[in-house]
Amino acid sequence: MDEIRENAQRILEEYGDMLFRYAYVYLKEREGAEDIVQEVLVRYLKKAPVFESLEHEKAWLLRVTSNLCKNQIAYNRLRTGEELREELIARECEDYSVVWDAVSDLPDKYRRVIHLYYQEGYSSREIAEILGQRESTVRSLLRRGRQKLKAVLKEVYDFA
Amino acid sequence: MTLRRRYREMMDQVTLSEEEKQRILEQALSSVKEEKEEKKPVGKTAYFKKGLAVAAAFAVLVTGGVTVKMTGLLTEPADEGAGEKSRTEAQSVDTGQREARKAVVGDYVRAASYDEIYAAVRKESLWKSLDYFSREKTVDKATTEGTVKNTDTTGVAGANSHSDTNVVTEGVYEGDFVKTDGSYTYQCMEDCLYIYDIRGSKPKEIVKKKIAPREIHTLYLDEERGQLLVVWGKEKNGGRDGVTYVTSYDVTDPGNPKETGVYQQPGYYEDARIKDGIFYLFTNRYLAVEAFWKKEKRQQVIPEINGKRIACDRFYVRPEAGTEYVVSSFALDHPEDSIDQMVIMNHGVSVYMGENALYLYEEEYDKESEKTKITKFTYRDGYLNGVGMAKVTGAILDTFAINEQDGYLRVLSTSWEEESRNRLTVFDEKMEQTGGIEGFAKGEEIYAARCLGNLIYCVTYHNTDPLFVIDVSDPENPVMKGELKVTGFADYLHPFGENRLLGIGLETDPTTGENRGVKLTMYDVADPLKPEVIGVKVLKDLYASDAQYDYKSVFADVKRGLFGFTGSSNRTEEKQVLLFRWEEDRHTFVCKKQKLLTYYGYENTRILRQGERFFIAHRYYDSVGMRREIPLVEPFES
Repeated sequence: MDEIRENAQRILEEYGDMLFRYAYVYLKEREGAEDIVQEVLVRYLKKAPVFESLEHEKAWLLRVTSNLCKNQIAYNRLRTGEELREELIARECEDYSVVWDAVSDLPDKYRRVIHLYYQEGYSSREIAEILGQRESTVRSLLRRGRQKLKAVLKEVYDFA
Repeated sequence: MTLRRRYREMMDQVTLSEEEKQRILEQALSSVKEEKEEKKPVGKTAYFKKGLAVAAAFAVLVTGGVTVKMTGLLTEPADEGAGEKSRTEAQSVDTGQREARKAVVGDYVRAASYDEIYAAVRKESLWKSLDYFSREKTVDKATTEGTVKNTDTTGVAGANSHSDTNVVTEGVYEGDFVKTDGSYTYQCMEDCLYIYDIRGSKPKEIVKKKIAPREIHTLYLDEERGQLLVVWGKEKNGGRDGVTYVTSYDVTDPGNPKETGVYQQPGYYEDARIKDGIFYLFTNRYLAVEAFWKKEKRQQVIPEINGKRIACDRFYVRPEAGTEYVVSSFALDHPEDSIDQMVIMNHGVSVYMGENALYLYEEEYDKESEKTKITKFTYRDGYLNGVGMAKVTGAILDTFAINEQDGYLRVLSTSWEEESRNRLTVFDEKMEQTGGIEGFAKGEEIYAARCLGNLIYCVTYHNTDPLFVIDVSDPENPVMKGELKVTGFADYLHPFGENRLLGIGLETDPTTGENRGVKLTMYDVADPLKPEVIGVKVLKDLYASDAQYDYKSVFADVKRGLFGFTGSSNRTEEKQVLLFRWEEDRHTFVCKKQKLLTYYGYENTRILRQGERFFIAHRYYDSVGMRREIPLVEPFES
């Protein structure tokens, strides 16, 4: 059990925040994101394959997170529009409300590629691998997502 | 300040505290411990109300930028066969069906030797060592393209009439995760092929066969020859050396598929098209640019199809290149023999295969604007020949917004400057522009398009949706004919019989943009100057439909007045599969069948018809445990 604990600690240390941020952007709320991180950890401990590299491990974790978030959103449709709206003004992002509003207005399909692109620095090929989509689809989502953000963030947007 | 920096600064505020991490750790550990003790089946935990199955582990990703140390030029591996070739190749091999190949097609320049190809990759490898990820990435429009005359899934007529995959261009077939011949369905999910016998009252699984190490991408059923083609992929070396395979099976006895051949093409599967008995496979590959000085990595630069290196003159190079888009063809009669190959040393492109030509297009950005570069290739008998290239301003936003008819190519594109603008451009056979319409529907974007002969219908949207009708019968003078403003928008348009156009989309509040539900619209397009809405139905309980992003998910049987799709439901976490009939005499939509999918892990659904019976075929996220209870194909009852 000690080894398992050590492993779990390592994952949280290395990837905890990363996975939390991704889940947070995906679900647009904190509590669910924490649950997701926990569930990802459980799956890691139970089902993780042998990884070829740290990159591989990271990508695996992100993919699992993605799938769990996707399922959770489907499940969350039970919640009404009102309740969800309050969480959109996420307290952590208050200072960045303009950016956060723009991002959270994007449908989840766009948000997740935008996040993986801007936050994690993945290329569209890599994002396609993580999400199990076609690269052309990812590129299209990125492009549309960026266009939508650009419209909102005209003054700060920079093509660089 | 860049968006990236701002985004990251914002995300820096989002962290887990030490206590939170501790709590997560303890709860996760106790969950794992519990299971070990009780030996519960994998995948069930207390936190999710329904059992979840997570996607199977997958391999590999490109590693982050590795600095390249150039230790000097090494000699290139010896090339047999190809050697130096003159730029203009006039040839006529074997069958005499290949025409002289152009050396330059727009920006695409054919390689004259393998050296040129290596040089391009070497240059790119220098780039790679300088923060590859900060370079601007070209972004493409989604999936597949084409134009349709009056395509639907009516499919095969006759005794065992059944539906077929909804495709973009009539006569140009496409793969899908499920195919049927009326008596059996052939489906793929993850690494397995499943064959069901659907002749009885309940579909029965007769074959379950693991085919791929991880994932089967798509299937194509060649009924004429009684063969099933399965497209799957394999990754090696940390995902760099992906290979795509097309395995053909003799399914004349569906209970007993027999492998008859394998076709192998390097790269990750992107797309496939089948026309006139020829299969066209499109893959995309990234070269191990950062390790270019290693001999085995350089050898990887020249792809081999079924063990044979692609000749250098089949490559279109650019000065520096780290990616290859590979296209090849084979005949369904001889699925192991490659007819022709082509490599574009480019980022991936989008595919539109019209009746007469193949168009590969991609977006290009410069400081001020965005353009889409479209390159035309003929593909007769499987031979790929570049014809010409043209550029349009803006991006092509919809699968059906690029369309070829009678040799002319019509393209609808949207660009963003101060506000968005839309345009139509028409090109002739040589890809020279003949005419166009500039700047319509300013401030809106193209959401859907469809061509019926020489009339193009397109939906633009900001808060309301005008349906525009453009007459392109004179390629030099396309004319905007009618315009119809309605609320909401259509994501998908489908020709629905004489003078009828069906739209599947959403109803929205014109002032707030709030989603009011999935909307079905029937347009009367008899008079191009005055399109009219003659039937509307808003499905308030659905907030989205799969038709929005997956044209293959649409079932259309115009002859029977039926169409169907899958919608996502507001009230529950479930999806609904719906079959509607358009009643022409009463101008109404009648729901004929409706099924709630209670397992919310469904990824894709298809409605199939065999005779007068209907079925729903599924593919969902992860199987093993769940699948035992949920059939992959089931009867679609009312």
